Parts: sequence; C-alpha cells; structure tokens
Amino acid sequence: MNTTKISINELSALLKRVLESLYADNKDYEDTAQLALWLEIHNLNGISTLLSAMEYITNHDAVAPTLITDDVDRCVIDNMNGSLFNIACVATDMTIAKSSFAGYCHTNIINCQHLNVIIPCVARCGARGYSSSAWWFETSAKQLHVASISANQTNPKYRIMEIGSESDIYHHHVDLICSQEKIDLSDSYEHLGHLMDSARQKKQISPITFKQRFEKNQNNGLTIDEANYLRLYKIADQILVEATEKSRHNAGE
Amino acid sequence: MTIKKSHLRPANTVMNLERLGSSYPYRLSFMRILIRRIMKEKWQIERTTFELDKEGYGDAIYEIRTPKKKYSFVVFADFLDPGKRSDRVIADQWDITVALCEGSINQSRLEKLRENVPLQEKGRLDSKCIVLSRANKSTRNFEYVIGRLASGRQPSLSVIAKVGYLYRTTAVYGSGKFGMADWQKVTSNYQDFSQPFAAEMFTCYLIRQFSIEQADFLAREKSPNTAVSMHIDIKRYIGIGNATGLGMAPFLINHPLLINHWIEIRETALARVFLLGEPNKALLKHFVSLANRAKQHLKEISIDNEQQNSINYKTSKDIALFIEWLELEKYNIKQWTELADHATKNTGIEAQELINTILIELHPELTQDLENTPNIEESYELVPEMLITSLRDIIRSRYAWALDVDFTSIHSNAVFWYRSEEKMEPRLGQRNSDPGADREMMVGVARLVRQCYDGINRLDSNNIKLTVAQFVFFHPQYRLIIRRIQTMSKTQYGDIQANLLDEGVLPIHLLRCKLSFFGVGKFDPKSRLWVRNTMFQGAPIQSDIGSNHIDDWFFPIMPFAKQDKGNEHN
Repeated sequence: MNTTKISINELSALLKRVLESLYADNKDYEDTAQLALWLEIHNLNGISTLLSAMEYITNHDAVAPTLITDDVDRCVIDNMNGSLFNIACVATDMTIAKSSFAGYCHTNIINCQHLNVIIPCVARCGARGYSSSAWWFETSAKQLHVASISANQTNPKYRIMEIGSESDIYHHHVDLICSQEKIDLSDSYEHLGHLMDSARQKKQISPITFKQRFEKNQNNGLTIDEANYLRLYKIADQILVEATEKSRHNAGE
Repeated sequence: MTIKKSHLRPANTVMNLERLGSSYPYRLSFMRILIRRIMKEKWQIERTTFELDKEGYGDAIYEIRTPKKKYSFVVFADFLDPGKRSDRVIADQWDITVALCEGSINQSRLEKLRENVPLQEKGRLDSKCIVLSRANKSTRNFEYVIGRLASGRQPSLSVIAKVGYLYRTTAVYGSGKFGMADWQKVTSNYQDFSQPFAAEMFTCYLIRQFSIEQADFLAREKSPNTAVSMHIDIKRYIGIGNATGLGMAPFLINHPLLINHWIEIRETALARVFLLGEPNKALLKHFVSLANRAKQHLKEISIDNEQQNSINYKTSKDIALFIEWLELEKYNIKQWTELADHATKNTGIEAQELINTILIELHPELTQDLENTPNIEESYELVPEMLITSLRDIIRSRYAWALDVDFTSIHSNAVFWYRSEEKMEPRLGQRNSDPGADREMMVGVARLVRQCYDGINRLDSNNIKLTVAQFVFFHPQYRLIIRRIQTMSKTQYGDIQANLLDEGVLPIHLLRCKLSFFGVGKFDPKSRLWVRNTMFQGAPIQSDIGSNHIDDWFFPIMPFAKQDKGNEHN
C-alpha cells in the first residue's frame, strides 16, 4: 500500500472541502468534517469510514431523518438508513440541550449506518462538561462497542466487548446518553440484560492512549493510504470552478 | 492593567471595513514583535552554505540558533525565464524557493528538499519543516542595484525608495500545508514561533537577508576589481516585497475569532494609552517627531495607483495640519484623547488611524505585556440549549449591520467568491454572468445571517419556543452560521461589518487590515483585488543582531535624508 504523509491541519482542510462538496450549504459541513478528522487522528479510520459512507451521504433521494420522540430527557431519531455523519452533530446538539435542562438525556438513533462516528460526539459531550456514554452493536461480529467520557475530559474510553449471541433488535442502532452529573457512565449499557451475560472485553482504548495517538500524529503527521487520499481529493475538487481567462482576471490581474 | 469593555472603541467604529482598510502597522504587529525578540535573545544567523554560480543560481543554507532551538533556512535559486515571472499563485516557477526547517540540513535532507521545495504546492515536505515560500526578483531593482555596486557606486536611494526591495514573495505557507508541521506543533515544539505567523515572518526576513547577500555576491562576481558592498544603511533600507491577493480575504472571514483577538489587543493598547498615558513635553515632542516621520514616509511612497496616491497625499496633508494644530495647543493638552478627538473632527480615517498608531508607540510601558497575550483556540461551538428567541435577539443586537443590507437588491448579491481549479485560488465572480455560483464559498456572512434570521421569523408561534438544537435539527443549513453568531456574540468586536457579496465590495480593505497586523507597510494596490507591499524595510539586518537595538524602524524613510543626500550620486 502506498502511503502519503499529511498534517492534521491539511487533512482538516481537505475533509472540510470534501464535506462541502457533498453537503453544499445544506448542512454544517465543517463540523461534520471534524468527526471524520477526530476518528482519523485517533487511529480509528476516519477517512475510510467517510469514504464508505459516500453512497449514504450523496443519496439525495434519501428520506430526511425523523424526530420520533422529543421529550424532556428523551430523544429518538430515525435516520432512515442514512449515515451517522448526516445526523451526528444535530443529534448530539439535541442530547446536550436536553441534558442542560433536564440534567440527563438518553438519545436513540435508529436505522443508522457508520455508528463509530458517535465516538467523537461522546468526546464533544465531555468537552462541553457532560458525562457521556454511547454504545452500539456490531451484530455480525457479535460485538458491543462502548465509548464513554467523564465530564470536562478531552479523551474518551473506548471498549469493544464480545457478546454471546446476535441480536437484531439493536442492529443499526446507537444509544447516546449525557448527564450533567459528574458520574461514570461507562457501564450504562448494562441494562441490555441477557445479551451481556457472557460478555467479555476484547479491546480497550484508554483516554491516555487516545491522547498519545493524537500527540504522535500531531508531531509526526498522519500516514494515510494514498489511494484514499486521492479519492478524497477527487471529491473535494468538485467545489472548484473551471478556469477561464476571465476568471484569471477575476483574481486580480 | 485592566481595561473595561466600556473603555474600548465600539465595534461599529472599529469593524467598519473602510476603517479596517486604513490600518497601519503598529508596535504590536507581528514583525515588530519578532524583531524585538530576535534582538533581545540575540539569535545567531550563520550562513553555512552559499554555493551560487556566477549568475547567482545554486543553494544557500543559513543556520539559526535561538536560545531554545536550532533551525535551518534553505534557499534554492534557479534560472527563471522572465516571461514566467509572475506574482500570481498560479505561477509554477520562481527565482528562489525556500524552506524553514527544524535542525541541521545534511546532504540527504538537502536532496529531499531540493526535490520538493522548488515544486512548491506540488511538492511534499515533512513535519520538521515549518515554512515553505518563494520569491521573485524585482525586475526594476535587482539588475540596477547589482550594476551600481559592480561599478563601485551605491544604488540611488530614490530608485530604492520607489520599490524598496530586491525580491518579492508571492506566497508564504505554514501551519501544516503540504505535510509541514501543524500550527499546534509549532506552538508547542517550536516556541520561538509560537506567536501568530512568526515563522512565516521570519522566513520573509531571511529572504530579505539572502537578497542583500546575493546582490553583493553578484556585484563582486560581475566586477571583482571595482565592486563595492552595499552601504549598511541601504541594506537596512532594503525590505522584502510581497504580493497579496484575494486569498487573504477569505482567511479573515473564516477566522473571525482570530481577527477579533488581534483587534482586541490593538484596541486594548489604544485604550490603555487614552486612559493611563499622560502627555508631557517630552512625549508631545516625540509625537511630533514620529508624525513628521510618518508624513515623510507617506511622501516617499511612489506608486502608480492614483487612488492610493491621493489617499497618501491627503493623509500626509492631514498630518501636517494636525502637527500645526498640536504645536499651537501642546501646552494645553492634558489627555491623549484630545488628540484623537481633534483627529476625528478634522482628519480623514487614515490620518486618525495613523495618529492612533503613533500614540500606541509613545507608551511601550503600557503595552509591553500585550505582546505575550496567549494565542486563542479557535472554536466555534454551538450552544444548543439556547432558546431560539435569544438567538433572534442576538442577531438583532449584534448583527444589525447585516440585517441592514437589502438582499432583495441585486446589487447586494452581485458577486460571489469561489475557488478556482487553478491551485484553488480564490476568485471573485459576477453572479449573473460567471460560472461557479453554485459552488460559491461561504464568505457572505451578512447574507447567511439574514437567511437564518428569516428562517427564525418563519417559525409559527408554537415553534418560537424551540431550542437552537431543535431548530437546527429541522434546519441543519443554519447550524454553521448559528455557531458563528453565538461564538462571535461573546466577543468584543465580532464580525467584520461588511457585505462581501456587494457589487462594490473592496477586498483590498481586508487585505490591508490583515497585512497591517503582520507589520506590512507601503501598500501599493494593483487593483481592488490585490496589493503589493513592503516588509521589514528599515529593520535591523543580520549583522545588527547582538548590537544595541533601538526599536524604532517603523515608518521607514530614506537613510541619509538629513545628513548625506549626496551619497546617492557617488
């Protein structure tokens, strides 16, 4: 695999252009780009996740997400099989806003793809002063993913648990909870009951590891797959306008 | 020294685009801060490689030792077909290409840099490189200066004054571009350059140094028996040119927190002078001396742009009249605000801002600490729990200037900004005739605010109690501008108060505003879209480092202006 070295700032700018070309002015492309960037600079495959989400993002015939439940401390969003990239920012906004009034909020996003995009959202809740946790199932691999953070922290804890049985109930479904209280929400998934009976931890990424990953990438730059890099550039270039003699004049001469 | 918000000039004065476009470099401009640091810390700049051929082509390396770190500045000087010499970003060849890197340069690293630096945007660098830049010779000055030196004569000051530099940079890249070190890394690992644009400014300073040394070298090569070295005062009077185009304008719009921060520092400095500075005989004399120098500086600017010439002429005249008034009133002046008030009533905006610049200069003791103001982290977070009615109130109070724009008029929405396929160069298009409006850049803040405001007003009475989070769930297109509105509403100055989509928009004001914070002077607009200017003119040169430094190089005027005018005819 050929690779390219790229700085964080450079990737940030590139991802913004990519999302701008995909969303135009219909969504907050800058903040959405930050989600992919966060995953990439913490070695969680932000670029490949975003590239795999293309068909979900560019499907302009897709039905808009629906707000099924909008209670004081409860929110259910049907993402209509869209990518979490499309809805992650506003779903997090809803969760934080409700937590600020009710002290706590539990949000479900159902019929959703690319669920690991919730991890930077959990980090965002922590940075905003909320304890937070999110969990989702990767049913084909019989795995439960849990990301959690304490209030006012920068980096979350991320665990992958192996579970005994598959469950279609939670397929394409992510839970996000947020609390004003300075409590540890990392085990909030436990109400999942029998699914967790034989669960065992397969992998954990600690907040310190996340911090180290970021620092390493900041100091040395990111190494990314050149083919992916070129694909991103191709998408980003869609915001560019063809050059003409007149347009050259329009830049100053 | 605590300054209350009420002591600062109001946003609708300061953030007016015309006033921003009348800014002058001042004591806390980045170049001034950098030079003070270099001189105070006695940075060592040593030329370790200077392998140029008779035509001046080849490699040069300078090693820089600061108390904290060692860096290298690498220059590749190549032949450039005169027909390819262009200030435009879209150029692909230059007279020199340069890089500022951490540490020393060994042969293998030099080879790698040689493979990439001359390619500029098409090359790739690594995270130990901090700045990438390039420069072209001033066709007017370069050969002339070498010819004069080779024949044993100094260049005429009037010729140097007309241009002011031997090389002109056309782009200076930092902050992680093309694989280089991220800004966050620069601030943590290369603390010598932790001030904004310090590494970029230092690179320009070193290009200036190289240009002076290359000129001396080529004069000797041309005529070893007759050549003389450039007089040291002329060396100091040589600056480094710069050409800045539209690209800088979107930067200002896309970094409003940063711009607010810079402006707040300047306005705090001015407020401290007004509040705490006490005029006395010596300071008033100093003021007159600096004002006279500024007047002379403006008179010596010789450019083709008629509009800028007339601005400089008027400002110079305003300053002359102001000095006359001050000479009459100096015994009655009790507060510096009296000067500012008189300027407001009797001079144009340019002269007002120039006078403010001089006032800040008079009281370094009141502003010294401001140059160490920590950098801000640019974060534009949504406040999702805010009620939509509160957001509406904020828009009404802080963005009244935006709501005042009539977007039903085609004139208010006549132009759009876009990125060209040619190196992503920002360009300006006419909305009704040029292609690309469907891909316009989001720099029309006033229009975005108006659209959001209209969106809020369309809510029915049941929905007006929504939170911002609920509103953006159903209207995600407003999330970006709401983040900005909420963030900037907490700042003193907020957004630049201008509609960048107006048919009469003058991007040149934005360029000059930013350049003044850099410390750039001698603005030479080439159109309303780009400007040439001069950096570091009058600043100490490398051989001055280590000697006693008097921080007095701003508003540079011709050397020997008083004592030795005949020199230019030697």
